[in-house]
Amino acid sequence: MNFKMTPSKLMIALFAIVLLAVPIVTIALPKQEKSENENRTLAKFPSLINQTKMDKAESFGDVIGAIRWDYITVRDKPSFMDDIETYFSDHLAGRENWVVAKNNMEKLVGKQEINGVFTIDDQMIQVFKEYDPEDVQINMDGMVKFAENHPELPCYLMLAPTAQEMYYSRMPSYGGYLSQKTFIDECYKNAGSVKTIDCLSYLSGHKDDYIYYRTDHHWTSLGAYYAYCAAAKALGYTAYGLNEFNIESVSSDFHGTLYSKTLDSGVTADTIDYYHLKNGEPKVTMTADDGEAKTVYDSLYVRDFLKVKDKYSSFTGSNVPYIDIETDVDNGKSLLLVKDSYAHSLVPFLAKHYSRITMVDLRYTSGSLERFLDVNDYSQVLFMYNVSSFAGDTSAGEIMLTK
Amino acid sequence: MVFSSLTFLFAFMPITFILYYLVPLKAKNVIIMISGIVFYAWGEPLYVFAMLLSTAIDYCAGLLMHKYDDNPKIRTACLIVSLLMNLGLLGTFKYLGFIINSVNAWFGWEIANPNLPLPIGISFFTFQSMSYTIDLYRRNIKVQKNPVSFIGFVSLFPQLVAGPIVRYEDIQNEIDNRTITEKMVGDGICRFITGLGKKVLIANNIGMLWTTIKETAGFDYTQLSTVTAWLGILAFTFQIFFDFSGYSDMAIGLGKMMGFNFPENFDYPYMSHSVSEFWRRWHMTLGAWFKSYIYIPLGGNRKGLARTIINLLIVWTVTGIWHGASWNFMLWGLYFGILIVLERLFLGKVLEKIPPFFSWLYTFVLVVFGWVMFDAIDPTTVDIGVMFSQVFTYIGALFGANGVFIDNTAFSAIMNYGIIFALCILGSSDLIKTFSNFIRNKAPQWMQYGIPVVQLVVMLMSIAYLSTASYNPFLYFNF
Repeated sequence: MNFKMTPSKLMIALFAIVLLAVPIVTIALPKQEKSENENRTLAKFPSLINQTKMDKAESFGDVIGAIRWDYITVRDKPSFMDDIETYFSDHLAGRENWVVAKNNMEKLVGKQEINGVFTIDDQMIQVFKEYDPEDVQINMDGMVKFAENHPELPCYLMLAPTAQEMYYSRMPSYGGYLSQKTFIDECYKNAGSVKTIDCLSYLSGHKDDYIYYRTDHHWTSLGAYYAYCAAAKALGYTAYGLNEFNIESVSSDFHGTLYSKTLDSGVTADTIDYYHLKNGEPKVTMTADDGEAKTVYDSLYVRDFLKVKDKYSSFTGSNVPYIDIETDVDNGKSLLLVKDSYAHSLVPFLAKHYSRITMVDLRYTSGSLERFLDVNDYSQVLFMYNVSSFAGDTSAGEIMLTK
Repeated sequence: MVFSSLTFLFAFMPITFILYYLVPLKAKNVIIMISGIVFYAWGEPLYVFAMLLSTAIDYCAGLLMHKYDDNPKIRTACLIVSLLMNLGLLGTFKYLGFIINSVNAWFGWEIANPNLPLPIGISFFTFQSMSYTIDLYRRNIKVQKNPVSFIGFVSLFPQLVAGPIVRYEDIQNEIDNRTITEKMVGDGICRFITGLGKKVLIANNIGMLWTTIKETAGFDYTQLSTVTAWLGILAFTFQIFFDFSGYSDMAIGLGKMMGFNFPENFDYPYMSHSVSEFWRRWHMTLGAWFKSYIYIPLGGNRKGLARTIINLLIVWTVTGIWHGASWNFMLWGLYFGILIVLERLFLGKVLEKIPPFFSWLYTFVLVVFGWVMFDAIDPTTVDIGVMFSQVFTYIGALFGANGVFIDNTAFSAIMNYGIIFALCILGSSDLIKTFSNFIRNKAPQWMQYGIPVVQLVVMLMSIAYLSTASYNPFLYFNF
């Protein structure tokens, strides 16, 4: 045989290999239903056939009628063809490797943020650059109105800074990053009869400690501990000292949500710590109500989550509308905690001071809370949000829906 | 379907090309016809019939012109039917809503706007199809009797939706008789990947900067700092060049892979030294189309200076409005018409005498101002006053009228896009071409194998960008 390699032949060969190998491997690989890193279900292969009609089809005309023509011709919504592209993209062979390659190229050309994450030293930061002041107003108004409607019920608001605030002075001044101190101060000015809790200064005092996860948008148990100190002072009890805890490290390879956004394995994996009182923890019964079913636990830690990617959820389980915690602390005090996920690692500390804590996540509830609880059962109400989620949606304002 | 999609790269392209190379030459046009219709219908499942209607009428018009070769009346009638039908399609889908909106705004009428969608590529395939009947009428070309070949010409998917505007004349020999060589396929692949990289790696990237600046401003440019205004419109200047010429590169490359030699469409336009030269190097097939079907029939420059000027202004107004149905495009076209008239009258001679750097600067800056009219204006406005005010506010911002020279947005843009800007400048010059020609012609043989390897890397990088568009992590599970 007289084969001579030419640049053209090489080009054709390389091109053909890529063009054939990628789809073949994509088809051959088993399809995943869910992307753990993206925390979402991946697209299913779109179907052009209305199965119920097809099952009933008796004539050729029925078969034609079972085809979803409108799915093909639709213009203002994703059509069949758009969904095919999405399916391809969701299931492409080596998908996350392509993402890593792309993110590395982005870094190479000087992009300072990847997918809304700024990385500085060994710390990933979820950036806080813009928000809609009207949304914040809705949240504040809702809480203030709630407090007015319940003058006998002491209401508190604790806005937690995110990691950005600790690195604020080191981030580029031109980047449009917002000062969370300013944001919190502004909110607190409009808090009316809601008493405000300053956890920012407690956290800032320990900004060099490991108070935020490196690869996740939450605070660590240590960060939550300092917020607990701030909260305890305002809520009227004495916080336990750090030296009164035994620290149990339950995981040292936690890759959090910010890792998922960047897939940057250059940042050290995180450690998850549980803080247990040396003198013994209160006994608890935790009931999580996801709106459909109730699950009962005898601990605030759901250790099953330590085996999966979403390890932060081992703190009182993943976000559900209601979590009811009863303890054997015999002081008759009860707390209604209206919160986002930052509260999950805070609750183990708070639980030492209440007979009962009910956590409500307004992002997942709908309609009036009265169906589930009576606010008059509680001796205190604490609104606890991090700045980013508080500014990012208006669910906190929905507390107003409560009578 | 667009070239820069996974569906095209990993489904349409492998299937089409495998079939195309497997079947014998005579059947290749059948593959071209079917693949073209599928390609178009994938993006326009309904209006594919508009395209097929246009094709069918032009095909029949051609046959009739041929049959009644000695009857000038029938020939003229055929041409008129073809033109009315193509321009009618274009007018209905592209300009009707615009005309209704403008008339309503001026006279306070309330004619209902049917809000017809704009079928993809209608401005391109109608022009391609018309070139056939016009040239046949002029007896420049031979009739195409084979319907498969004719539908194949119109629906030849590489050039179907975004240029270059391939006239029947350009490929009349190749459509029925072409050879596909190994070198053509190899070169075609190189060209395709170059275009893909230009579109996906450069245009999409630099375009994000312009989108951000434009969206933040919301057509109110009174807050832009001087540097931000320049970076924004330069970002668009590069975005449209790399997007459009990238698409043409992909089309020309795919054409080569199928054995066609399409006309070139861009020749480093940002290196031009006069506005007239810019338009000889930018979207060259469109310029050639207007020249041969409008400017010259109007008399071109053969009927005295006054008529020449009027003809030029007509052609450039039409060129403007071809780019989109809104007033800013007409203004943009007219602006270039006036500049070209001025260059013809006296400016051209001045430009030849001054140092090349200054004639380049003159051209580039005026072209950039043109892009302000092209893309910084709210396209929905029918109020000419609003349009001019937006143009002048933006151009004012370029000259520091807002009183702020540089701000955080500008710093951030420099830090995040500086390298991409540098790549844009490099890619707009002919340095890479000179270098690769050197490799091809002067460098030792083994270095030529480097070109495919570099292209492979560009291809993989482009796939990385294309495939991750849907990578979208949620902090909380989305229901």
